[in-house]
Amino acid sequence: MSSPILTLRNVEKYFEHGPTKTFVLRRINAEIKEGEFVSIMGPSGAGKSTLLHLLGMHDSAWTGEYYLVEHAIHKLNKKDRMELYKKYFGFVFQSYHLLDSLTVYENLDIPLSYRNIKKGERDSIVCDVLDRFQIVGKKDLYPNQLSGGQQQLVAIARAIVANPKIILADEPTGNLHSNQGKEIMELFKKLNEGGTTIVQVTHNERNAEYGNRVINIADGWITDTGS
Amino acid sequence: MNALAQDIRFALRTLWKTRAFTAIALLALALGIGANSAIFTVVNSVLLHPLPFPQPERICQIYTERFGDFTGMPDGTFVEFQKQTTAFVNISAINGGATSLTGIGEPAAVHGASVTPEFWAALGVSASLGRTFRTEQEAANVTVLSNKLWRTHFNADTSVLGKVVNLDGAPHTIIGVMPPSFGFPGDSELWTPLAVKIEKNREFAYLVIGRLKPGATLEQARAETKIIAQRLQPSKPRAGEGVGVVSLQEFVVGSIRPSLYVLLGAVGFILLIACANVANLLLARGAGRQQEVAVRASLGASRPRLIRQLLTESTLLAIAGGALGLLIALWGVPLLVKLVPPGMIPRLEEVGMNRQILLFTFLLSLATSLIFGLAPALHLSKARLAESLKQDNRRISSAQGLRSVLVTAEIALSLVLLIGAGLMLKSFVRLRSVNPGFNPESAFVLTTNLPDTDQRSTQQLIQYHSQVVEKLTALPGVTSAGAVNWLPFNDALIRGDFYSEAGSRPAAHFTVSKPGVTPGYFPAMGIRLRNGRLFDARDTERSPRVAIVSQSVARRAWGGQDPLGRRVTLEDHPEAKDWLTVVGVVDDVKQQNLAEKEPVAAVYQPMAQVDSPFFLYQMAYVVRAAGNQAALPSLMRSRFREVDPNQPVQLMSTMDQLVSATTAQPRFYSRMLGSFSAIALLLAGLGLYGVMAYSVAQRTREIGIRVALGAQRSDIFRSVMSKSALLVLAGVTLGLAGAFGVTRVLQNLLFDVTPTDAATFVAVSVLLALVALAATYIPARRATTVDPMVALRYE
Repeated sequence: MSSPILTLRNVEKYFEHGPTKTFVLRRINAEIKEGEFVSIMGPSGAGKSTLLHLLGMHDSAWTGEYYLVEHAIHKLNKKDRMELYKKYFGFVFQSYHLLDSLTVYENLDIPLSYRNIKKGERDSIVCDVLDRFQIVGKKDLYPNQLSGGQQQLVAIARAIVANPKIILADEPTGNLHSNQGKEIMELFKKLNEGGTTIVQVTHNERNAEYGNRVINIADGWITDTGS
Repeated sequence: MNALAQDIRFALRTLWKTRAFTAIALLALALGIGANSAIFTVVNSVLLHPLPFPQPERICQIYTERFGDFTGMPDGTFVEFQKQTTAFVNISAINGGATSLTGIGEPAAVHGASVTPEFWAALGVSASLGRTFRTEQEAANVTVLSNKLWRTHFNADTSVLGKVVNLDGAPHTIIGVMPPSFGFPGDSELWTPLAVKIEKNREFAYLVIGRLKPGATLEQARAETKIIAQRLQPSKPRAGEGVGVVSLQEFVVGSIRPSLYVLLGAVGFILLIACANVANLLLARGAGRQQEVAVRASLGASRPRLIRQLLTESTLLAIAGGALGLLIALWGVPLLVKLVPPGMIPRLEEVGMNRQILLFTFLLSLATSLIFGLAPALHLSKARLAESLKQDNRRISSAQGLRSVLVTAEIALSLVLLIGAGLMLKSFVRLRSVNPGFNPESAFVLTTNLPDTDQRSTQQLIQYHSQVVEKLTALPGVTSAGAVNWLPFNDALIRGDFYSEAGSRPAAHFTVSKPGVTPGYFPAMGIRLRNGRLFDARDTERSPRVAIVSQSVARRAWGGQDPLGRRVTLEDHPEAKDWLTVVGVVDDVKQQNLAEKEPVAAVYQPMAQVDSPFFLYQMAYVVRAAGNQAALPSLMRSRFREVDPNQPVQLMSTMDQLVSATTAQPRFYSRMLGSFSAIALLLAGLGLYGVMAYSVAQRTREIGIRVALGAQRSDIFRSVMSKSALLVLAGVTLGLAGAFGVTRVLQNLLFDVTPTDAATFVAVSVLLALVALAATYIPARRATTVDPMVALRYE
């Protein structure tokens, strides 16, 4: 394990209703080192997904300090944040969120297209990932022609196709049955062993065991950093 | 380039996937773009396209102004102008009118033009067969045919040159045939040489055109024209103000320009309404795409990239809509041309599709894609990622406010169009209800135009016309028949001064028409006798001179006192025989159109007492008949032929048709604006239906909770309807404000109706509100059927 790749200092998120503030995240201080496999756990409504989306820069309405490697995210504008996001992150959603009007191939191609990679190079990368995930035969199918497990597999393939350093996964097995879930977690473990930092939100203790640390959240507070 | 191809591919796939949405959007866009392309085709051909002459911008019309009307140039002025002008390389005088063509079988009445020889050089045209006439042939009897006349009457015979035909009884040698589509001025069918002569007691006015010298400008020509006019009338300090020069294009199309732009504006409104409709559809569909857009953003798509992708879809939709619209225009333009009343729009024969229309349609499609696509693209592309991507995300309201604004705008635009149509319709109805002063029903008319080279004496001509009237009176079913030289609602009307016995004129410029009529004319036309008697067999060329006056003459000349027995004269320097005794008073009659503010006053003379053949060349025979009249027109023709087999019938019609022809223009505008506003109303109704249906779907959970808490169906119904009523109220308010400003452009097209007529505004607003609320009825009813158990599981 090496230096911190994600650092949060006194990060807070709240909604204002007139004079009152409703906190979703309170004084979040956390550090995730490069190569870690961290699980964020807690009861429903604790702020787990909120924290994950904040880390993934899907949410910009927060206060505090957020460092991605040496970049001070809290000081950057939206455009610069997006550039860093594209460079460092891949996201896996509980509902897969594959694009229904695109084939498997096109779903993998689209993140590369958004990173202005030339077509020839994109084709090569996508073919490589299809092969790696053993879904070459499914490349021309649409998401509604795949099972849940297959869809999540494609979603993970999509998340890593641009070779991110960090994968954020929001309940990646939440919509899968246990066998499929196990396959997905094995895949994550493999990716982590390859050097990818993984941060997952999960309710599932068994899924958490695949990681090497658990951060517990309750009522917006981190109650245990697991370190 | 690659990314664009990708976006196009994805856009096509998305549009195909949502075929119902795509079909509705395409229909709305096709209607909007198609209507614009169709009207623009007319505008382009008539207004924008240069006249089909070499350097058309250098051809001008030179005019004089009298009593507020633009008239031609008097002959004396023309001759002097020709000598003095330095701004024009040549000028030509033109005189047009009906011409009888005989000597080629069936006699025909054609539209001819007499022109000075400079006419051809001024326009820069030459014959496609043979030649045009030159200066030394000014006095020669030659003629040049139009291509259309050559085809219809001479079978396009190339050996027609040298043939002799009779025009108004005088032989003319055919020396040339003009190219197709040349028919200036108006729809001239043949041209003969005109020699401008100055006569002592008679002044003719001509249409005058000229070609500017190289280097001379229109402004220089205008300045010179005023100087020459002042020079010719040194005693009148402001003589120069009564002359002017305009480009020939302006002369030909200037009067129709405002009306065409009104139509173009109207279809522009339809396009805006269609755009608002499609934008609403996109926003509604956008609700289901927020997650997709959020996912794309989370995969790295920048906002400009997302906007570009969404605009690509809009552009493809707009281009497809434009292509369909072009098909609509291709079908619609010929139909539109057929509906245009004859003579209303000049250059109609030049209207047709060309590359400019294709380019216009394409550019309009692109602009349309921005109008309807930009707001939804901007809205959708700023989707909030965190809310959209979370598992427990509730459906986010998709731009309900923006959709409400759009539908309010649709209602407002529709109202403006509807009010315009309502004003035109009211104007048309008022116009049609105007009493012309005679009874046009069951009154048939046949006109003829004897050549003024006719050698017959006045008495011979009177005898001729009386013979025709006699034969027409004997036709079965005819209750009365008569003749008049200046028929109301037909062509020329000669007006002049008259004097009452005290030696004064009733008022400056109070001119009267001076028709010569046979005794049966008044009953045949259904003109009511108010006082005294009508002309009868007592009124011959030897009996005392008499006259019948119209009511306005009686009122203005004698201050409402009984005019019977008083005397009038139509001559400036009357002799004893020129004084006419008033024996009758008849109703005033509209002379040229129903919209005349004041009817033209008339002093009628018995035809038997007309003393110049000039007043007997042009004649209209009016017949009133009862019973089945289907065969009457052909019987009238054949009776006329029995008297003069060589004289063509110029016009065979009914007075009803002649009157209707003068209302053809307002009828046309009513129909056009009516059709456009019907389309607009349909689109706006659909737009409102869509917004309300979506709103109800969005509120299903809320409605379920309300019902579970005890709300009645009527409460739910009222809640939905009141929301719609607010939108309608906002739209109507905005529309009324807009209409107050916009309808002023219709001022000159309206008769007896102001552009801000309160009754029309109110009635149309109520109609629109009712239609709009009707569009809400189905969604409101659907809302009352929401099952709370289903709704509360709804997510």
